[in-house]
Amino acid sequence: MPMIELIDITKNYRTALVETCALDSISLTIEEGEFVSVSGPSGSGKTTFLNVAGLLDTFDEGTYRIDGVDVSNLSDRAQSRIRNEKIGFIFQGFNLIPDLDVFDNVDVPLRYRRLPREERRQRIVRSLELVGLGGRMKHLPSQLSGGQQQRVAIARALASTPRLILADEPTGNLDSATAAEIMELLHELNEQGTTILMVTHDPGCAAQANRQIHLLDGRLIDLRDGDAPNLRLTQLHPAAS
Amino acid sequence: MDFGPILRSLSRNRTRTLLLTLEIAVTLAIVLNCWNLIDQQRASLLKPSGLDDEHTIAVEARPYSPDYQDFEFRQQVVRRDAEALRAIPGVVDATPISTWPLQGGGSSLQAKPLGAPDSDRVRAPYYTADTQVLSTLDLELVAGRAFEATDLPTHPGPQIMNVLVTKDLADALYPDGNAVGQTIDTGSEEWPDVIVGVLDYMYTPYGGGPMETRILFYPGNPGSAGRLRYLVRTEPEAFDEVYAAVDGVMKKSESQRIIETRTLIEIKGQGQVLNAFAVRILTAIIGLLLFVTTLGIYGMTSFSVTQRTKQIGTRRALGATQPAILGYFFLESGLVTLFGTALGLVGAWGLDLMIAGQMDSQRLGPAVLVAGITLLWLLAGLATGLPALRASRLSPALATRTV
Repeated sequence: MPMIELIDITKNYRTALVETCALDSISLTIEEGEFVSVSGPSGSGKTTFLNVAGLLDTFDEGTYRIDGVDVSNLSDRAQSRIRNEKIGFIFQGFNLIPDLDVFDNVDVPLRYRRLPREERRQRIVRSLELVGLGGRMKHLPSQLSGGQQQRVAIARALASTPRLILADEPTGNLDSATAAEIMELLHELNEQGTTILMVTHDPGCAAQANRQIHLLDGRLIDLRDGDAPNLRLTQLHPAAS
Repeated sequence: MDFGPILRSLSRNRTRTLLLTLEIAVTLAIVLNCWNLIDQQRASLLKPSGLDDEHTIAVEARPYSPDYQDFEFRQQVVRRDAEALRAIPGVVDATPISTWPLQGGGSSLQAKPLGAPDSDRVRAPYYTADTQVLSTLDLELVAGRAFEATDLPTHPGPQIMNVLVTKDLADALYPDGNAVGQTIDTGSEEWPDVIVGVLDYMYTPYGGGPMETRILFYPGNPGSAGRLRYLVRTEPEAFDEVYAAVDGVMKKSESQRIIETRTLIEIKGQGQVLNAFAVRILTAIIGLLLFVTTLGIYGMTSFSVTQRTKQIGTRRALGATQPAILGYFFLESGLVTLFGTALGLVGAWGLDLMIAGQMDSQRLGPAVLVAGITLLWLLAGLATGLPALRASRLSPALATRTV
């Protein structure tokens, strides 16, 4: 069963004067255990794609299944539950809560799952040790380097033992050495069976994925199918591939 | 629940938390005490006086003749006036009196059993009236005797006097209940007073406290060179006729003076003007404080939501439902309100002690505490609700927004 199955997904942004098509009839299937990168220039629809894939935003048309569950018309509560239990998020800006220490930050999604205190503690310690921050549990985010903060964010994603990790420019705010460490960490997670969908504009990072997808003007090119990233716009429509 | 993380988060934003906690505490302390004072003022406005208010006329004579400087002359005039007023058809009785009861003040003294330490002194309003005071004021004697003609002083200046006291004053001076025949010191050990009778009940507004029912009557035909006062109690059906007749009777009794007639109800109303004004002022203070504090809580929550927009988006992305976000802000605001309430209760207790030390006021009771705290929490809930609702409706997509 595919982990992600997007069928003809369309997303438009409307204002009083303008309607912009951010995702144009996108169809994509990602199997469990894949490491997929999504790249594309600014304004190509990468973030919209990630938001829709992560149930952070709605879409106008199409069908979307996560782990076989059609999420197109789920309630807010049901969507929240899927985000909490099946998806781990890693953000470009780390998105740690500045008032909470490392332990409490990793605890955030676990509290929403209402896990028992001891189980939460064990998960937090385990995931922080996995990212090499077992000794920084009482530190505030402001007391950590950018790389360490991103490791905390990864630990936060891991603590929920998700089957899918959505990473939004996970190395975007990091120097190249730290970025390499983070990519290494993602690879390790992928080798352990976690499906990873990573949005990045860095061709180097994108190339490290098992499968590369390119977005241009809201349309998707799956490079696995032999498409070149510099195809002419008329050739980029999914129907043409 | 997020108690732990929220507490730790609040402790890391100490200044903001402390300021709001203090605002809530000060508001609660003042609101509870104002409320308590309002309750007392309202109770005093509604309290029965024990007099026949509705059928009593207050007559004031303001002489301009120099003859009134003479004590003996004045005594004769007062006796003559009182007799003339009593003779009006429909009058139950009449008495001269030193100051108006129910006027919201007057004269007071501090009494104690003769020889007792000064700490035993009890404050009491006092009036001077003649032998007909009980039937004129419709007061009931419960022990001892009423004034007799021999109790009236025959000369001005200090002398031992026989007095009447209300039961509340008698009990305050002599808790064992043997007040009749006791000698009391009302300011001079050389010229003490003797309690000859105890009256069931009388209340006169005097700024609050138990002294309002601890009242003392001296015997006499009171009046100064510039003012003589009389109370006239009428049969209910004869009130209007007597009221109309009083002016003529007084002018006939003695000339060279201005006569002014009012009802005791009018005097009572004027006496309550300050009470009513105090109630309005205290109510306004309560309203203003609650409004400002509600605004403070709204401001803090609203600022908190605006400041944490991305954080809320992240929480939503990590699995928080809309009710969970709503609950988070209610819990955060609730904890601050809880700290403020705890501190406010201590402040309210201190303020209550201070007020009790300044005036004989009723102490803060559980009803006012419960009502005040409930109102504050309701307003805190309302102030939190709007921004919290706004927070809960924020999109989880904010988590990925970089600007």
